[in-house]
Amino acid sequence: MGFKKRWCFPGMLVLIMLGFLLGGGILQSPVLYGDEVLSLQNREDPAQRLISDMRAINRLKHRISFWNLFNGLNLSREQIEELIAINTEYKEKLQESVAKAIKVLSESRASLEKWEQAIRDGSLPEERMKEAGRASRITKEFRQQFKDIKEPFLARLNDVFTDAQKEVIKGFKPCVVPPNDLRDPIRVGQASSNEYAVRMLKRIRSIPSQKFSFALDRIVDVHLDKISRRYRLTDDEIAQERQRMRELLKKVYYMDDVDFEMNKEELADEFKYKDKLEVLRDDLRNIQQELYRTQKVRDPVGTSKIVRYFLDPEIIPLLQYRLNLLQSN
Amino acid sequence: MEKGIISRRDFLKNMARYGSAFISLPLALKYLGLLEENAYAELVRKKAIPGKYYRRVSGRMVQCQVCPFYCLLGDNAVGQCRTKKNYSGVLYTHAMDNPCIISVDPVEKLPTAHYLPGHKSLTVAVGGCNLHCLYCQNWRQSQERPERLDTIRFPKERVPGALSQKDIKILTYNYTEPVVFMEYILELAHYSKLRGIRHAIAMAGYINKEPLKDLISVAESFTITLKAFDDGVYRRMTAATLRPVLDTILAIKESGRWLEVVNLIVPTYNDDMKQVREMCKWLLKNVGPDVPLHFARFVPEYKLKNLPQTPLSTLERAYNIGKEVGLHYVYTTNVSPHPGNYTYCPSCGTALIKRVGLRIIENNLRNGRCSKCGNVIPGVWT
Repeated sequence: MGFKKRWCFPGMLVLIMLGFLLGGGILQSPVLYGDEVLSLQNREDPAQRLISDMRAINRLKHRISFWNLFNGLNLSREQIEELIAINTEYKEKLQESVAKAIKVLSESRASLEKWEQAIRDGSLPEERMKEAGRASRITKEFRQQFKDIKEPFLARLNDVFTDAQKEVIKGFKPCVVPPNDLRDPIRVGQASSNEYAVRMLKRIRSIPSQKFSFALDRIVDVHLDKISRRYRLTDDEIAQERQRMRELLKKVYYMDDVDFEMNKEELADEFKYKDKLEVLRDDLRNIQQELYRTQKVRDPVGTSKIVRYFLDPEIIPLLQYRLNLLQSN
Repeated sequence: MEKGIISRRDFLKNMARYGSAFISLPLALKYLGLLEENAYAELVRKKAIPGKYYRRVSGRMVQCQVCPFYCLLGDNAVGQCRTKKNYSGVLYTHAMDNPCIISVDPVEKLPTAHYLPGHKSLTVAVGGCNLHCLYCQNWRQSQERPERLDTIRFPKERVPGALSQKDIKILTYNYTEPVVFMEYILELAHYSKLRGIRHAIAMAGYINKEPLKDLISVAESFTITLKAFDDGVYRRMTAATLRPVLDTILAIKESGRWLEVVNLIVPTYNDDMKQVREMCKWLLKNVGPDVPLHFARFVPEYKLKNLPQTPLSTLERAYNIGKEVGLHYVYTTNVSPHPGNYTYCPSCGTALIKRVGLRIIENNLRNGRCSKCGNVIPGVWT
């Protein structure tokens, strides 16, 4: 019943064909089509993907930093409008230069490719050498040209911000989570970075005296365990740190209440472990700041944080979004 | 019934008789004043000192005279500020030598813009407050009895040493309400004034005339928080009333001490711009255009966590109203960086003191005068 016998064979045939096309095709195609299909599947190189993801994350981080800074500045509507105007003008200037640059750079690229080919084969043709040198110089000059485009905007950008806003921009460090004084308006100009350490010291001071000597060893052990895991300290360094920490905690514990309250910030600074590497990094940072101050005189555009964050055609839609938000409120 | 055995009824009768006698004996003794306080109560009382401002009403009933609440306290009752307690007809204060906060702060934290800008101060605060503001940022300290907080023993003798450690010359009273620990302030001030230490107070101004006179005699700067300009809102928000605060402002102005006024704008409570305009007009008429007025941003705290922060636009509107009305020195506080943080010369408009929050980034004042036009800027500058 049901099927007539004469439909059975063609029906089976159709089913087998469909099965082959849908299921078997996926399994067997590499075998059938060989390298070509395999290369298609591997076209997205994992390393490439990683690089592009990292790039996207970095761009996102820069944008988040921008928002954190933006939110901490309390810009007025007029200031935002002025920033949009400056960036739109900058974008136009940039586009003109980019069109020129593309033409010149493609020529330079061709020269450099020819030069690569020549040296790959082991020859050093004079003419190609000169061409390659010129091409390399041109790319450097272009970098400078792009900086020069920014130059006239620097003064205008500086005029947009008030001195207090400039002070905030100057002290701003790129961040994903904004620091206390940008997050909490009450704490601007008074947020202490030692809050956690002060809290810890207060807790230590509240330990009952009969338990203190035992607790002292525990606290020092935990502290050493934490920092040695983080910094890979040598035995000598661990012994030194143990000694330092014990002395500091004893001093803190037996300190008078008033003295503690008056000096808690300094004590909290001492409480934080400073690794040798960090001390060196601090020194380096000081030198870098000196370098930055010198550089700032010679290269105001390249070192300006205002330019870094606020002269970028990409922020135009972001500013416009915020302006709309402000207008709708 | 057998000899020596009592009936159930007699047993219960005797129990009731002797039991009631046993219970009422200590009460009777206490009433006659023959029973001593227990050891803990005695210890607590010993740490307190008799208050300065109270009067005996009748028997052991006393009435506190510090603030317009005039708390009427029976024996062992505690005032609404949580610092005063009636021990057998004597009003004691527990707010003495026991601050819960000692902190080195910029003097701008009071807030103040015309009192020794850029100087450091030592802030002292004792637990307790006579007001019960719904948004109090320090409610953990202000809405608790001082003897129940973690305190620091800070008697007057320690003050000069502590200040010289950090080269500080100003003692400020902030965070909680100085009115409730004014006996302590007076003691500190009388002791340290001879040693060249200056005093500045930030308070809500809900205080009676007599104690205020004493405070005025020791402090040289006052920052008064005028929480609203409507009595209903004042009651709802703080449990206090408006009139006494206005009287305090007038009294301080009359005394010639430096005065600044703060108005914290709380959305839906006192953000009505009509009210703000009224307040600015009253200040202009009664204390003049030179008293600085700070519009402070509200941040959700304590019982008003359901409200949002004060929008910047509201603060700016209030700031503009203050300027429009004719006040010379209007500020925005708790919002930074903002042009409202600066001090401007009312004559030529130059930004004289530029601030980021509590930090001064530029000071263009020369001997209390504008560096550009020479206009005298009122304040305490040296």
